[in-house]
Amino acid sequence: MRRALTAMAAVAVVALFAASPAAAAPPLPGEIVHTETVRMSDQSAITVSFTRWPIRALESLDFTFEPTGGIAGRTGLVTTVAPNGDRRGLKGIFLQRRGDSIVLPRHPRARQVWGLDVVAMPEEGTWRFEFAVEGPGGTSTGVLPIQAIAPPGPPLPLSWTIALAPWAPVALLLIGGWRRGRRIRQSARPTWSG
Amino acid sequence: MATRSTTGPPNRADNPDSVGAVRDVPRREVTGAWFLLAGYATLLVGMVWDGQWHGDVGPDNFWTAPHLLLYAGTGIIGLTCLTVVLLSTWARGPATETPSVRVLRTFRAPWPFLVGGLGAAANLLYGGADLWWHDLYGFDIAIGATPSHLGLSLAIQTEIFAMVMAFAVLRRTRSERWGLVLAVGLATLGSTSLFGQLSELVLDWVPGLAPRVIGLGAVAALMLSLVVGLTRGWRWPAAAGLMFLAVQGGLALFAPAATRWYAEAIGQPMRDYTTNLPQSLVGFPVTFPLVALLAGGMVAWAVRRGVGPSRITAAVGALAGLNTVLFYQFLGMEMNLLVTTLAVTAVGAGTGWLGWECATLLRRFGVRVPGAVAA
Repeated sequence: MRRALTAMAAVAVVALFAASPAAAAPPLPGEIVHTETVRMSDQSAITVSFTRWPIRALESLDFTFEPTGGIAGRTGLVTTVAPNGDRRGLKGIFLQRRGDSIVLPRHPRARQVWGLDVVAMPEEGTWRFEFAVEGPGGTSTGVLPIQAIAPPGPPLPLSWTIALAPWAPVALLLIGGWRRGRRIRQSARPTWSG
Repeated sequence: MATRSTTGPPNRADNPDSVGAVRDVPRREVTGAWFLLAGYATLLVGMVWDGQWHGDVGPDNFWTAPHLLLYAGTGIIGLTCLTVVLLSTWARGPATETPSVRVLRTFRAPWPFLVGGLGAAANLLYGGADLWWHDLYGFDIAIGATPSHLGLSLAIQTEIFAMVMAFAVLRRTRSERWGLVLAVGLATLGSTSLFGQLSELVLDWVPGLAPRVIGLGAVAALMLSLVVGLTRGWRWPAAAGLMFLAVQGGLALFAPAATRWYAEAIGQPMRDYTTNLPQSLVGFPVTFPLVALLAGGMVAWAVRRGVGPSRITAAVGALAGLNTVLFYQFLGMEMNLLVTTLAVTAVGAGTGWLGWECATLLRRFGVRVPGAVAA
């Protein structure tokens, strides 16, 4: 009986310690729907989490990036290469950059990890996220290919046509008004008087 | 409300270009112009605050405080225009001197208030479309121009033009001219949205060119030459620069503080890289008031030396374009300096000419013209 109790206590202690803070509090609980692990050049890893999966072009989502051992004392860089080769694929407002790379900020709602919130991949196709993590042991690198499927909603040309069609008669009216006003403009002497 | 003259005797505007002539403008249109100004100021505060929010905090929905302010401003503009059109329709008395049109064979609509009303209605419709867009795609506003955002910007630009038109009709008293230059100060910052988007959509393919510089240079040139053309004196371009300084400075103080306060109030964290620096200070050159002062000086010089206005407004436009490229070069915007400088100077000169021509047409708005609808 005593053995059994000791074993149970040992299991409980192990379970308690095994539940590290990171494991106990994953970033963005209830929001993450998919994770990928990126193997880095020094055999460490980055866990990349997504709040939407599959990713649709133009549809906003949040990313989190969690390197092995946490972000303390490390700097994370990611270069987002769009399918068209643009190495600044993700735009973001006022994101801090070093060259083409985004200097990864902490996620605003999960400060224990790096993250990007409310960003969209503007183009359909295969993206490349090129990571570099600078730490006390040097810099490690890794690459994650990400597939962005077709955007939701109607075809974009249709959306643009519907949005801009009402302005076609306005443009015609303006052109007509400008031509009709030619007489007034020409009859008004260009002077400073008045 | 009956049709009443606000001041002075009936129409004495024998010379259509004479600012000094006292013209009759019904009180409803005078009050309406100031309400349009108040409505657009409210809209602009909401728009600038919303931009700061997107940069510093991010998460969004239709019912945020900046959005509510933006749409409240639109509501004020729409209701003002509706009221003025209805009062013009029901009023009895002498004809309004503001060119008007009859709508649906019933309503008598002075042009500025017809344009403003249509702009406000379009703004609300595109607001609905924008809600649908963000429901479908989310709230990343960094992906560039979207159909709903471009539609919103076009509608808001229509409201801006209506406000400027309404004050172009007035210009009789000192306070009305201050109203005009305040409207231009607001319009200068507010027009950056449409002109920035359009230039990026149309000119993005030109190698080495910074499209946004071209769009904002055109705004600066258009607004300054409009004021020069409407007022034809050296003081009012300078006053427009002063008003712009007040608008940009006020919004630079307000938007970051309001964003921080609102984020705390609704429990949203600020982004890690947020500097809380005012976006309005980089949204348009802070050096614009200096160009406006120079424009005033150029007008004074031209009047003294008898130099024609066409050359001066083109020169003012070119100067405004040059100022824009130098400001964004200083901020580190990527561009080929020579290509962008040449392009924005040429566009500025052309827009300066355009502004004068538009002002020539707008000055006719204050005089009785054949075919004006009786009010």
